[in-house]
Amino acid sequence: MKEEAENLLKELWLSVHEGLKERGDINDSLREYLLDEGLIKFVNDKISLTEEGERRARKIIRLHRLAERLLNDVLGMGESKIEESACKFEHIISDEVEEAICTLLGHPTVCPHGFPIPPGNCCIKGEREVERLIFRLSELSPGDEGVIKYVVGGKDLSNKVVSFGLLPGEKLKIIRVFPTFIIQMGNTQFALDRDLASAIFVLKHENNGEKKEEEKHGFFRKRRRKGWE
Amino acid sequence: MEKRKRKIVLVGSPNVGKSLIFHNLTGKYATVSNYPGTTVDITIGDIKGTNCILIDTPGMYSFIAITEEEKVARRILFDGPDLVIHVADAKNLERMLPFTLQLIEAGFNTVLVLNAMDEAERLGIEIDAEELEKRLGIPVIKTIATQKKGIDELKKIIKNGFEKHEKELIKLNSAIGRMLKNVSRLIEGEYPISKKMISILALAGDSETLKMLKKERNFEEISEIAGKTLKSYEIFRQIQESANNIIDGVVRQKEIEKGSLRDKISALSINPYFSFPMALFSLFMIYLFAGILGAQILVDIIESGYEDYINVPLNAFLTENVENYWIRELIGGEYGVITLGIRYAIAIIFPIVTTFFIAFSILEDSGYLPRLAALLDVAFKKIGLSGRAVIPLLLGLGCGTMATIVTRTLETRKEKVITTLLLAVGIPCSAQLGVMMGLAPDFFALLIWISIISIVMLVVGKVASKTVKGEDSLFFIELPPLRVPNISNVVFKTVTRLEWYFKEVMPIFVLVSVVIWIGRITTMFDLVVGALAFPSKLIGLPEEGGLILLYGFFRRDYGAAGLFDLTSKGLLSYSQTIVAMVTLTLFVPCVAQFGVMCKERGLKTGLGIFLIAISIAFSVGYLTNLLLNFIL
Ligand SMILES: Nc1nc2c(ncn2[C@@H]2O[C@H](COP(=O)(O)OP(=O)(O)OP(=O)(O)O)[C@@H](O)[C@H]2O)c(=O)[nH]1
Ligand SMILES: [Zn+2]
Ligand SMILES: [Zn+2]
Repeated sequence: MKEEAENLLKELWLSVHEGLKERGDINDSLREYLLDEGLIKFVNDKISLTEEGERRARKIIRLHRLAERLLNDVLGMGESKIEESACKFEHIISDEVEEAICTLLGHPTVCPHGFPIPPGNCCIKGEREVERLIFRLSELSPGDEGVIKYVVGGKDLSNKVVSFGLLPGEKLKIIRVFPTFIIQMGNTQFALDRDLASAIFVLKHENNGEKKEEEKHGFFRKRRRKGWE
Repeated sequence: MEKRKRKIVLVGSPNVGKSLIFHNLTGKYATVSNYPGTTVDITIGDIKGTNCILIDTPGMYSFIAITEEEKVARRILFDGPDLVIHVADAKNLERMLPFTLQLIEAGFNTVLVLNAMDEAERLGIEIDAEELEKRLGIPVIKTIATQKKGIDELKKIIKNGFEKHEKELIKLNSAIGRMLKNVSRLIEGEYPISKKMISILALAGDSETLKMLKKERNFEEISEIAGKTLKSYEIFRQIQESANNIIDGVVRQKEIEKGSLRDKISALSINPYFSFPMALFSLFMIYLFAGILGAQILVDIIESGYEDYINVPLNAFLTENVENYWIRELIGGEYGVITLGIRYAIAIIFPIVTTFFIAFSILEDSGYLPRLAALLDVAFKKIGLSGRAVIPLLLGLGCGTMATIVTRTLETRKEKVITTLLLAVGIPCSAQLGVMMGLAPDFFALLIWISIISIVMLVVGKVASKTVKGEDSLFFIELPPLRVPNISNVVFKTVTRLEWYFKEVMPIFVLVSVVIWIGRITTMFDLVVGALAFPSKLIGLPEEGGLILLYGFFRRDYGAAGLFDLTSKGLLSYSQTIVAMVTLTLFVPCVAQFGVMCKERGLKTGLGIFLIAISIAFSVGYLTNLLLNFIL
């Protein structure tokens, strides 16, 4: 019952906020249930969401799209599987898990299909304590490598980024972060400013952070040893 | 009956060698340099031995056009060419191929040129062109434009044509694919490109495409589907994926040794601790070359030669043979066409501009300028510009008029207006710069001049960045590989620029002499100079200062040259020289630049900038005078 009801809320929400066609058929028991829970109301025979219904629906959409991001960006699942799993996912994620996932993903604002993800509390607070996988390009340091996952920003910005060839799936390596960001993609280097760099979300490759640490230490160790001699 | 000429268009990302290939095919020169965005307008030429015209277009990354010059390029495509040559950088095929796919799917007869194969090979990249041809269904040709390799093959294809194999290359799946079908079903009109590509552009929310679709019966519905979400990203991702699938197995990367000298220099060039001094050093080199060699040594030699061999004999000849004073004065005397107009152009301007353009061409071809842009971006952001503006501003040191045209490569209106303003107000052109440097009584004077001009530029930029409306621009630039400048290209480019410059300058110089002559006959000249003598005196200059300002309006360098004359006659004191240098640098742009300004930015903005420049020049001149009187 719960899953079915949530799906209905979702559809109502989408029809209001994103202009998708709503499904006509609601069976009586479902309607009873939703009315009882105070999630929908009827005005002039037209069904609409109550405030509570709206809140719940928004949450479900958010969970669905976060799940899509997770499955797509981190787990690299295919299109058909994503839809199927995301639809299950959205009904079972708890609040804490939701925030953890969102933070892990760097608080994404659009789903892989380009639809907006309604922000949650964690996005507003910009939480960081969970170990993250996805970073804004502007948060990376020289030597880091990763894969572009998505870009956040208005249509103009994303069109620009697209036409520059900064596309999801492109591998990049950070060369410098000061005074501008310089990245290497394929056999060419590009310079970009901080605004652009913070609109680009990158899945960072694991081992590189460690390697960089090592190099740094290596350097100092050598220097220090010289000093002792 | 003469057959219609076939129209062939060269397109591709910035800095892939389009202009060089254009030159190879037509023998005509189109600006080639090692920074993205050199070509800001189209160049047209005939392909030798064929009945085709070739069009070189500004660089574009994809069908979505953002900057003005990309729009120029796209308009050419929408004009329905007979053949499109997509020039791609062989070492970055993966990034280039999506545009090829778009061109083919748009329905163009497309040829793919893989240029700069030499650099790709050096990086250990191997490309199976035959296989790629099969997969794309179009001819694929490898070239090295710098060595003219592969050009003949390209010519053969142009001449003989080829058979195109229709293939579905862009595959869009899932939701986007469905939306695409919906949109293309709704579109009924005829367009210069295929329905599929029009629909893709509409879905990506391309504003010009949507404008084009306005007259569609179902426009409402189309724009509703198109306007809903940020799909462009997903569309282009899927196009990229299609491209990656095609490339799979076609491009092979061999292991190569890393850390060549070139890599090391390249790494250094983006290291701020190294590149900042390097920027100063390169400016210093320009100074040595244009400021010392051009503006002092060469000017001295040519000036005195001109005086001895032309002015003196000419005046002697005139006094003897021509009775009428005014006719004598038209040609010779102090303000004559030959003794003043042409002398300025040849003896003073020519050496300075030539040396500057040589220096600038070398800098351009080395690939250093984009790195300089990256270095300065943060600082430029403070005055409402992005690093990209460094290219027009630096070029402005050569010729403000040319530089104003080059502001087209900037992205936002705000950035264009501010750059145009700075070019008009504070950036001295090479002739002016050269003369100023030759003119400065000592290093201290030069220092004061530079400091005042820099402060004014900063303040103007800062104020403009707050007042000029518009969005801030984002900075993104490709750093091309560092290349050793090619001497023949440098020479060629300098000659082309000089040609352009003189076509514009010479007539104006002659005209100015004539106008002055008429002015003197009718005593109008005295009147205007008299009127200008007032502000001139106000800022502490002698009356003749008014004359220089008047010259300066016709051409800045003309004014500078006049100033040069004045000081060499010993008419200006130490502080007066500095005041004159400052005022003239800040004074209005010359007629030509003013014209271009109005054309590029609109009459209102152009006039506005003009007035701002005048007010700034006089008030700063006034303040400088006060300051100098106070400290000296
Ligand atoms: N090594 C090498 N360099 C090349 C080749 N073709 C062009 N170049 C260099 O690449 C740079 C750019 O060439 P252009 O012809 O100006 O490129 P473009 O595509 O017209 O550039 P825009 O006008 O800025 O769009 C120049 O420095 C050329 O000398 C090539 O085959 N090999
Ligand atoms: Zn989605
Ligand atoms: Zn969040």
